[in-house]
Amino acid sequence: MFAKKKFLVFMVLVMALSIGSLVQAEEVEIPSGKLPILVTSAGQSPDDNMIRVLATRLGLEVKHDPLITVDELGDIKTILFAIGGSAKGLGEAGIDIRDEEQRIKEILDRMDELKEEEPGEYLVVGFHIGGEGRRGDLSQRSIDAVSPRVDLLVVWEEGNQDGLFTRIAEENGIPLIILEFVRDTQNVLAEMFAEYIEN
Amino acid sequence: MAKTNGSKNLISTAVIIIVLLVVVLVGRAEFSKPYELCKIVEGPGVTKTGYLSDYFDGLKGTPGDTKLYFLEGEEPGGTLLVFGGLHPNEPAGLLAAVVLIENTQVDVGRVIVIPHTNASAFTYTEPMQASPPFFEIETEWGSRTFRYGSRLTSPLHQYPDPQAYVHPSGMLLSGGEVRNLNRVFPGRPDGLLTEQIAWGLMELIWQEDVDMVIDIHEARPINPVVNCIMAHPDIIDIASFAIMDLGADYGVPIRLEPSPERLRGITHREIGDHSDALAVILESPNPAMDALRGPTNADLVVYGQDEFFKRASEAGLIRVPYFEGDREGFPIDRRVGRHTTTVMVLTRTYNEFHFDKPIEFHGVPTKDDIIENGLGHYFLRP
Repeated sequence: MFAKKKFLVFMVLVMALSIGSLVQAEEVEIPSGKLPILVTSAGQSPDDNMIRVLATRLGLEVKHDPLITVDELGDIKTILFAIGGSAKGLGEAGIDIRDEEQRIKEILDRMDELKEEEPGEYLVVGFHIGGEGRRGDLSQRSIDAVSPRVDLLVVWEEGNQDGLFTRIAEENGIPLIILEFVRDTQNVLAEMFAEYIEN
Repeated sequence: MAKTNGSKNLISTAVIIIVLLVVVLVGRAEFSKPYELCKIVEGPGVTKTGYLSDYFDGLKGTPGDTKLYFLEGEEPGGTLLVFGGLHPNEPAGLLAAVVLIENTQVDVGRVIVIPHTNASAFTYTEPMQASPPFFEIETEWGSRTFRYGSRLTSPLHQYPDPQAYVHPSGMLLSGGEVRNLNRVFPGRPDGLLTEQIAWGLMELIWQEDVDMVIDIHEARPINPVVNCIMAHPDIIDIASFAIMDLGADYGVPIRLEPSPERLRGITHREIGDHSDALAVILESPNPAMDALRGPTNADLVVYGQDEFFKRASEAGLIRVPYFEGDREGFPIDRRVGRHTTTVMVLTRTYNEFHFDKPIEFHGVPTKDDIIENGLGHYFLRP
């Protein structure tokens, strides 16, 4: 019990420190996200798990479904996409990359409609946090499907060594946050959902 | 005249017999060399040793039996089991296990380390691959020799391969996979040798109530599944946090890979499904096992430098960095350090989730320690 308390205190400290050390956030205004939050995949890599665990560590409740379809979105207001292809993940899901592109397109189309109906209520964020290992042909299909259509791109610098995400962000007018470490994703989430996080 | 011919024949026969004897004796000594696995020193943290056959007597006296090293703390806690050398052509797994045995001191709980998990596969190298049978690591007191083996159990110990291998789940694999220890889990007690080794390891996990299993491997640098942790779904949260801490705190960029439910026989998937243990596989890049490589020798195993990988890296064809800072290649110290650091961080993260059964130890060098002091610094003199 004592150990659990110590752990919780440690977590709160980690959160406090994290919020105080945002990476590149001073240059990019992080939009506020609204609940309910969905964490899903674009390419079926398991990187969505990292976003889920960080959001959970912050005390946020998230719906986590890497294969969710547009019909299952319900009242979701914020979608966090983990971008990155995995042949194993796609195979395990029993789909191919074309099915995945179609699923993503339908979700993004729907979110565009909702944003038009109720501006400021909906948010879509793309996270590429798998680094160089989540680049290549398969991942590129997921990157192309999601990145140009999000409200914010959050990218671990290892995956942007050739400046791909910088170009996508510039060409599409999308704010871009480059992370030095994957763990800094937590800082972005903390600011994005600050009003829902208990201090 | 006839007598002279007779004497000559006698001398010729004697010479031939002596030559044959020398050939047989030298050949026998040479042939038996591979069966001498590298000597491992019981470090200050080793409290006892045992054999896999202690848990499954079907392995007793077979080439599949292997030595276990127990490192126990004074306080009770959880149990971590580490596999090295499950694929003996992936030497960073063996060396990381040796570093753990010779340096770790456990404070709470237990660590069990198996350096030669598939001992049979250490006894030969894969035909047509030109793999070196041995490689050496320089230390402060001289060099230490290690065996470079094969991916599969020796055909001398398990033969013939069936045309197709039917895993206990019903999944069909190519026949050769019946000698791949990382395709036959959870094994069969009455199966072929490789299946019996897997069964013995499962018995160890069940009987010792193991909490976490870390299976250390290497992969081809052109393989997309490299520099990663493949995690069973039950340990995905721990692995996720560990990955983020490894990158931020230890300079070990690493990523998460899924554990396909339908690809059966792999350690972490089957151990996770058939026991209470949390299980992962670690992968680092080993150029000596990749088809892209040039000359294959012990230097490639140890220093990991190869012109073809350099060119492939420059052309963006491989997804693991060939250069780290100004260091070229995939040197084995970096690979072993990556693994020891990952073992340490995974265990620390496990402790955050499992307050009731902690595993605490010290003495394990990180990647930075190994690069700074040299890998040989962490090997004791046999």
